[in-house]
Amino acid sequence: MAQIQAGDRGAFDQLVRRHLNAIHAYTLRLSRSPADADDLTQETFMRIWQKAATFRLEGVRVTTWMHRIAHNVFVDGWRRREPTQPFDDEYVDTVPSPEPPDDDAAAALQANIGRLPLNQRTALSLCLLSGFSTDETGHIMAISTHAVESLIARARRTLRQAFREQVNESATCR
Amino acid sequence: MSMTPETGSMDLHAFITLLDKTGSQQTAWHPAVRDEARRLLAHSADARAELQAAQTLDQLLDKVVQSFPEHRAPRGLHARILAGLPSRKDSFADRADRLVGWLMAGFWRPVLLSLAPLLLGAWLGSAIPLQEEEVSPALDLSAVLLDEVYTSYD
Repeated sequence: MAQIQAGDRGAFDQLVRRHLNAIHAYTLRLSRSPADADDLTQETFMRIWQKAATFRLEGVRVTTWMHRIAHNVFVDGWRRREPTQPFDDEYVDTVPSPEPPDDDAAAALQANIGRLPLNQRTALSLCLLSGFSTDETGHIMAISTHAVESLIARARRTLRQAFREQVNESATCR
Repeated sequence: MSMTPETGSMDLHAFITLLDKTGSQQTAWHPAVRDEARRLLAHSADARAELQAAQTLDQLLDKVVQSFPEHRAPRGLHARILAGLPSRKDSFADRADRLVGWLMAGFWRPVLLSLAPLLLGAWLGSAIPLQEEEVSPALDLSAVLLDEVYTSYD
């Protein structure tokens, strides 16, 4: 990172190579559009290059800092393009979905995660899929750790209730 | 954590909140509430049903996480990013960002910066010698003359 801060393009090339998949996966999860994810990823790395000097080596992990920039790029873009839509809006899932799990319950859960409000889905995916701690997730989303825990708790409750309803429905259908 | 008034133990609502916050693994529950939760589970069928639902949810979440394949960014995106990289210009905002970053890096830095004017003043004060008051010959002469004028009136 110190080399990138000094303007070394070769070191930046290595950084892109190492983190491109993770940043693209994150922007795809946020935007749910492959084309938008490409643009957001490019914009994210451009900002990383320009803002490298502001990164503090003794602060957060590089990957957390980069995800925060990606998050900010997404939020800025969202505000510019959709001024009338609320940030937490749900919209059609166009993400190339992951491998469908082998059982119906897991597939239903996957669909339910996709229906969660954006903030809950983001917090859940950063903690569960990307393996960030609640502290790091809070840093990325620019909210407190307590707020992250609250989002995840609400997400879990919604998912559990949806799961129980589905179980009850399937029981009454039999 | 709310407790039932008659027994002082955990109620179902508090137990559900516990499951939402920490999941179904009892080892993850805080020791202070674990015993209360276990007592509730011993006599409440609703609590056991909630726990079972939470355990199933946790297992399914693990399955969903495992079903996500390693994501690969599209080919060509790496090259596109590098090709579109702007030359890094030191704008005023960048310099200000760097200064703020430098200041925030340690406690001693803002302290040292705020002490700088004081230290500069002290150094200037010690470096510049005190000048003794000099009497110019012209003033001296005028004083003598005036004195003579005044005394001539006496």
